[in-house]
Amino acid sequence: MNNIERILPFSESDTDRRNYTLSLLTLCCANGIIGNAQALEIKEVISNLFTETAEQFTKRESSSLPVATAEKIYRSTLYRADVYLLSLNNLSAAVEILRNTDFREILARGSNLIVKYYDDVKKIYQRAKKSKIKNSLYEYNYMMNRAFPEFYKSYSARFDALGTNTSIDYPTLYKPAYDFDCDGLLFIREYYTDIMLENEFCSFFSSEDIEKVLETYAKINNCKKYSSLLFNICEVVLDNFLAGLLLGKSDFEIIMHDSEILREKYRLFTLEQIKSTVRKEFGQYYKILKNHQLISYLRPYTDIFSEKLYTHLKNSTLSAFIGD
Amino acid sequence: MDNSIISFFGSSIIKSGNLQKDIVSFNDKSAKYGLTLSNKDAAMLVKAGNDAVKNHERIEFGKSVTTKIIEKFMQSSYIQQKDYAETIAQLIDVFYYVKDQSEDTLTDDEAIDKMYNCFETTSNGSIELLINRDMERICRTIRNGADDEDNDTEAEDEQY
Repeated sequence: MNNIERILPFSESDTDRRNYTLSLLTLCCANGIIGNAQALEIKEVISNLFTETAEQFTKRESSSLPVATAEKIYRSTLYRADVYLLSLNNLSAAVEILRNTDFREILARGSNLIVKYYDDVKKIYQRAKKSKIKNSLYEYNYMMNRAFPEFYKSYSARFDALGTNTSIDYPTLYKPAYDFDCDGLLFIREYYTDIMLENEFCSFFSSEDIEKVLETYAKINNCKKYSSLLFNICEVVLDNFLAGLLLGKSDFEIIMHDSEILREKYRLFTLEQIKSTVRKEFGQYYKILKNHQLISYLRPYTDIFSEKLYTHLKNSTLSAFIGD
Repeated sequence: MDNSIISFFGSSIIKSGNLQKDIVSFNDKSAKYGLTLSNKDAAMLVKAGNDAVKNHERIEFGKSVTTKIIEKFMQSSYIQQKDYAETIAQLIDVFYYVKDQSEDTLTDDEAIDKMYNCFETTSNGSIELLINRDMERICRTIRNGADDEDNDTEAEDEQY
């Protein structure tokens, strides 16, 4: 543990991940970790880079910009530092770097990372595409077929780093797309990594089985078709898969017609008992899933599933969860 | 925490001290047209520029446009010493209006050239006609696309 780590009077939760550098700078100045002179020096570097970028944007033919456009350029300038400092994954390390490294160097490291991430996201998307789930859910197909190409061809880290130039509404297993605490390239990277893992998990199941489960989901929600609904496919598949495990089904079976048996078997279980059983049953699949990143991604969902199941058992609404 | 660019920089990244000196330094050139600006006038123009940038919700970052406007309009046949500073202040506001209304498709030089041409010909030195009629028409034409220019001009001719 270094000196800074011992004395930091704020924590990661006090920072704003969507505006990391500035929030960190504010906290450091307020707590005397960074002095006024250094803060002014950093402001000067940001100001110079902003001016240079704005001049590039206007091709040096305009001396002013509408606030909205200038804001995008200014945030793009700071985004370079955000990307680098966030990549450290450690508040103390980020503060140390901010204190002891020339801010121009931080920006340069951020720029290099952006180039790397831009290359990475294409690979992530291609891997996600390889295991794309065959289905007719509009938002999923838009996200898989159109959103990424729209982003990739028009993304500008220099002038609008926080924008994505596309619209993604499809939620991931854990949260809606609008709930990610990052923007621009970082959002795309995080979002499509989740989608890639979800697709890879779903690829353990047959397309026909997934289709049937999605059709059942539509019926539960009083809809003829599921195509226009907004839900996460992996969540529906996982719910049915985990419910199947509790019934002693083996392999990757997800077709449920026995909610009544499930109810009989678990209605007297406490939430903790259900959680422990689900964790244990799912744990047996780690060897088959192999991919550690995938296992780490899915593992927290077992408790979410257990809570949902417990509630439906208590309310006798199991058929509204996994069908009859 | 307010993270906006305005709270970080204010609306102008140009240092006003230098600008005031720059404005006064144009007296060497403008004197031959019988026009000069005092230090007080220059301070007023710096403030007018800052206010105009703010009122039109813009950020100024490059070389101030005020000196470009002075350089161009000192040649005007309609500006006299008694209203020189005040006219430049009004022209600065017209300039940012034109930038906004043309959706930033006009460069600074193009905007100033168009303003000057209108001021000297159709507006006959009237700021009111310049902003409300001539520049408004030019900006509308730009927004609608060049093809509409003839129709627009005809419509304006009928109106006026």
